[in-house]
Amino acid sequence: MVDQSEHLFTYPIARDRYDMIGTATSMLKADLKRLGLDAASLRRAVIAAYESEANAVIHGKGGHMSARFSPGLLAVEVADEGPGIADLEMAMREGFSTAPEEARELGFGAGMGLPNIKNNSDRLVIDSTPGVGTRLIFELELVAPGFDSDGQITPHMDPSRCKHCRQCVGACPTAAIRLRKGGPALLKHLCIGCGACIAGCSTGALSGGGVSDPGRQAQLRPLVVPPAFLAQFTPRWDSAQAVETLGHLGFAEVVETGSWETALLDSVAQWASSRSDGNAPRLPSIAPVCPAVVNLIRTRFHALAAGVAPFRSPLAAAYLDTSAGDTLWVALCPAQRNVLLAAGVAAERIVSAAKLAGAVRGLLMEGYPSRRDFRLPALPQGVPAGSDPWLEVSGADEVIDIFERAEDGAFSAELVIVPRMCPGGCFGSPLVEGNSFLSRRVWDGDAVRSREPARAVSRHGDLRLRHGLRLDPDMGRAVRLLREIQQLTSRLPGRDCGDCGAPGCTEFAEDVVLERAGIRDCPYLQQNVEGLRS
Amino acid sequence: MTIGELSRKLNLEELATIPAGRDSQRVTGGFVSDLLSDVLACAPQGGLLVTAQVHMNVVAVSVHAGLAGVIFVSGRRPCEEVIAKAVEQDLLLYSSQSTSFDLVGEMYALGLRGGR
Repeated sequence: MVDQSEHLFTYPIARDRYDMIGTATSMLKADLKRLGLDAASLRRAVIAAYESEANAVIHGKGGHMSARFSPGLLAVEVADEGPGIADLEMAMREGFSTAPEEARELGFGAGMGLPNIKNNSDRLVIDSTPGVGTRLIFELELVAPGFDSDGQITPHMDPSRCKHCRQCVGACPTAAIRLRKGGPALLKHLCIGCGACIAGCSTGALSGGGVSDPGRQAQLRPLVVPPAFLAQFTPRWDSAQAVETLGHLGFAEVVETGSWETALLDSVAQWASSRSDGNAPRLPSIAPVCPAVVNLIRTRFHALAAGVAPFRSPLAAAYLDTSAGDTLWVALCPAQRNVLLAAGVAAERIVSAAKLAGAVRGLLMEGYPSRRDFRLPALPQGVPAGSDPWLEVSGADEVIDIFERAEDGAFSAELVIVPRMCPGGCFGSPLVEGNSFLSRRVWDGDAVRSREPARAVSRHGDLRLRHGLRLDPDMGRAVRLLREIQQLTSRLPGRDCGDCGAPGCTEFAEDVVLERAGIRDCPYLQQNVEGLRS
Repeated sequence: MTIGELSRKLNLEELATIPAGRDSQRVTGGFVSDLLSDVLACAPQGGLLVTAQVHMNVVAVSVHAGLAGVIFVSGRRPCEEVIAKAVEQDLLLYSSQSTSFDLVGEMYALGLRGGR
């Protein structure tokens, strides 16, 4: 795959030329069209860019616009050398303007520019120093067909540590792993980033990845963690102690992402109750809390895609609400890690969950007595319950079963499914320790939980489907391949012994027909062939 | 309703030759404002903008907002440079003798709406 991570385009913004406002935006628009941007994103990008360009001319005495494309993301920066913004909060207010009279006469200066940019982008960062200039960056999630943000869904792999136990092959819910001589190999188009293979791997050949020196990383930076990370030390230590310990490790502030998940579920409830699909067959609504589940739908359950509520992952929302650029992040599965990377978080800002938990546990053991008289905390009063019929389901097998039933039309369209790939949700992630039932129950009544209001972030455009199970883009060819696979499967023993490195005989037959494996990898066929020869 | 029909019913003056085929383009939406940000934020794609602003930025904003054309009110007309730019960008320009209020009232009565 061509590396699309850093393509920078720069467009000049002429100094003091009111009649030229829009020139840089037009150039950007022409490039975005050539990239095949969908119409809705294009319109938003162009409006935000035009307003930014107008600001740079009216207030900033010109400057430049530059656009950076990375997989799934467009970031546009408009920099000027103007007087800077004295009061950013005032500037963001609708109707507030410091534009000169000449600009107002032309219909600028209505105080709608910055709010317009904010409304037409997914993230807005303004860095302004009075006397030096203003740097405005807005970001949009792209839905361009040419972009592939799935490049980093997979687990971190270190094949040299593999002991060929085959646990990972059987653990993968989408049959994406094969065991080869050199260790585990991934069929990337099937991997959904759930991390089930990590749970199965005891040697460290498969792991969650991430930067692994938490102490040196911390450096008084803020840290954003999923609730399950803080709750995993239950019952010996509580999450308040975990937060304190993270402070001792050198993190300036610990933010947990639970409030973004709550906000997402609220928005899903609203969306589900007002949903109308026109003439399309009505399917249950699905809350996109778990990015691995969303990947599963994109890979294997295309018929359910229309039911996935149009919101981004809670982690992406947390990122879009976090303005501090030096924030560090913890992801609890490869899919969450990919959400952060696709949203624009640099890889070196994602901390290894396992290593960080190890460091926290070490300090907890030194500094805090381990509790022996553990009691369940009381649950808060008046937890808002959705008025819709919700179905919470977790664990790969259970989720896949519910999805199969949903595809078969077993459920009414009023149903809202809240699916999570790990058993017990993130509390059962392979990257956290502890008992998922305990940590989840304790977290529900926890004092550390932030009750701050967070927001849900809309997803623009349809869910991008992956080719997943499809054997070939050409259906005629796919039919022929399927027939070959069936013929070969009937010659295989059907014991799913796994000696060939595939999870079962059907998968092996597909591998052979698609030339991912040789027929000699099956020891059973091997014997027969040799038997025939002698 | 097509742009050609609308133009005749509203008695609009065409400020440049209408390219072949554009006359029969359907139009269902419109917007009225002299604030450019307002146009960007709210104007319906494929609609007509009614405005008193006659300078170059109106062309850029209308193109970026995806509008089909602009109607200048109270008999106002932009300079030739602006008209040339609009022709280049495929944006239709008209002038009307009516004021904004009256013109928009007629357009609404003919079935045009402001929703995006």
